[in-house]
Amino acid sequence: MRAKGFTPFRIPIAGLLALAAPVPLLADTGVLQAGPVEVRYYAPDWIWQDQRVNVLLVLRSGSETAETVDVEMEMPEGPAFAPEDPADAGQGARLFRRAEIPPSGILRIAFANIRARERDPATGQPLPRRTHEFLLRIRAGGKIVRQRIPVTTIRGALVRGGVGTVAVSAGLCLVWAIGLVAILSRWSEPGAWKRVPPPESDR
Amino acid sequence: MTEPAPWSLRPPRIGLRAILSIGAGSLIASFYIGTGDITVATRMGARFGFSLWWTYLVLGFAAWALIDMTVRYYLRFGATPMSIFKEVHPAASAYMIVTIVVCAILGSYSQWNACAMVVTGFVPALPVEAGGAIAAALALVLVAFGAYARIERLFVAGLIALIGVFFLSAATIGIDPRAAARGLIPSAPGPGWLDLFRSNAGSMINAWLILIYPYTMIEKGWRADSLDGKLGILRRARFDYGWGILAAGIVALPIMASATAIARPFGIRPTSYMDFAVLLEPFAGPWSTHLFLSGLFLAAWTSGVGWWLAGAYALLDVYGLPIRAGSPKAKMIVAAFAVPSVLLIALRIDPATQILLFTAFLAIVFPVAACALVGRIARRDMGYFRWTLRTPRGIAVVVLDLFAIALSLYVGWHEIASWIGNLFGKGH
Repeated sequence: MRAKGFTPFRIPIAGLLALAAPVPLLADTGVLQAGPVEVRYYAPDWIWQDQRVNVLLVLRSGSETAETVDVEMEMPEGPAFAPEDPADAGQGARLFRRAEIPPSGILRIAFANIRARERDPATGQPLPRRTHEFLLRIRAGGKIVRQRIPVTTIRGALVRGGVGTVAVSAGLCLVWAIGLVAILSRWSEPGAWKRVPPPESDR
Repeated sequence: MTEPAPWSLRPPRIGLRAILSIGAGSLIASFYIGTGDITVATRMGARFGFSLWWTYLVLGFAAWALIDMTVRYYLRFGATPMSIFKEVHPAASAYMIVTIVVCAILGSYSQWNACAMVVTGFVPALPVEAGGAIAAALALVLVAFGAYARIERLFVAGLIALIGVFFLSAATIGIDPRAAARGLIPSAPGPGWLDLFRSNAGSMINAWLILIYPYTMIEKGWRADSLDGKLGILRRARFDYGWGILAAGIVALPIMASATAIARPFGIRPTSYMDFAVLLEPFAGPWSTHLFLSGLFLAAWTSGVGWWLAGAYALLDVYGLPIRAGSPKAKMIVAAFAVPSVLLIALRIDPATQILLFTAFLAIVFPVAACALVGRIARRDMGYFRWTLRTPRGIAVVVLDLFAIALSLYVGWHEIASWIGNLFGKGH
């Protein structure tokens, strides 16, 4: 009887199983307490340049009365990030939200679509890829909590959307198609690519 | 002996054992369920909740009809799918060669890109390119050492795991069964739904994967000389790929549920699956994100393998070479696809742009393939499997075939117009 030992076929299976390991993910999350309000926040810890950062907050009130919450997010200094939502674009370096949470209620707030710029809009020069810090301030029930959110920018797309993407992808595919046609023509009988073959059962 | 009138016989019943052997159907499902489907389901859920779940049903019928055409042709003549295009015109064969190469490279690239982002999510220190290369290398090992039967078994397990992890992930948020059931009733929930419907069409009834089923039949030796035998195979095959298409719709449900619960209240429209995966964490805990990302990796990885295998099968078919996944030539073709599909990751093309571009490409390519298919199938030499309006089964076949071709032409025509507009008008 053949022994069941290691075979290379099991490598991809092991790779897939390894994914189940509970290691930390790219998200930067945490829980803050501002007076009677518990705040869970989410932010990415890295972002491709020219992609958008979303910072999300879930606020749960433990109060028996309605609570007014002020949430402010201070953008990193410099031109590295730019909010794109129309409501935020005119607010400068500090994005602000004020909301009222009903007694024992839950509220969700998002600072969405903050673009990580690739170039300085004033000079046109590429921006360095490094770690930037957003600062989150939450005021509720007379208490203020602060949380720094570091986000590292990394190189974004080399090929931009539209014509560039099509041209590069199409060019590469065309070169490979020519190469494969040359190889397959050597492997097969002349004209096989256009001749209807005999049924598979006869081959 | 005269052949019975077309579609006049009652096909033999299939046993429980055949029903449970959902191998090739799972393979088809794994190919189908890739990043495109996940992106589309996420965007549908984030924008309209479950309201567009019905699109999977409608597109599923069309996809089923298209696969059915290739299977009927194979059963009638014992000829492979590429013979259809050769019969139409040599130019159609040349067109398919280019299409196959483009689909195999770009299709697998978008899957490795998704795998890369998942791997980078788990191991942030790893460059994105390395993550993609690892996923592609795992796939190469599978193809290099796996014969068809092994690959099929792995894909059955993969599909079950995939459905399981997405449902577990959604269970941490909660699925509203009534809202989901209402989503099966066709409706136009608001501006933008038609764009999502067309994106889904590009993903569900794409030109290429619908042609692969007969190759799995060749691998498994599903052929018969007698009409009874052919009808038995057809019934079993129909059940099999029916299950595969159904699986794509089933997987969409938990993804839509999660997007409905998470992205929609914030008014966020995720542009990619990764946007969405990380949105899960603050609401459902890190396990939900882990499960979602594991499901995403499985979906993308199996789909990437699928694009390679489908490409290799088709090129072997075009050039009249033996159609075997385990043959050295098939493995060399797969290795040839591996290089450019990994190279493209280094360019870091915006994944949202890339996937939209690719689904648009598929939607454009598809009508040509569908026209060739339906043109061939409609000929009278199809024998028992030819079109007829004289029996209820014949009418059903004709209606489904025409529905599929009409849908593909509509989607393709619209995609061409919008693609040209985006490229030269609104492109950046």
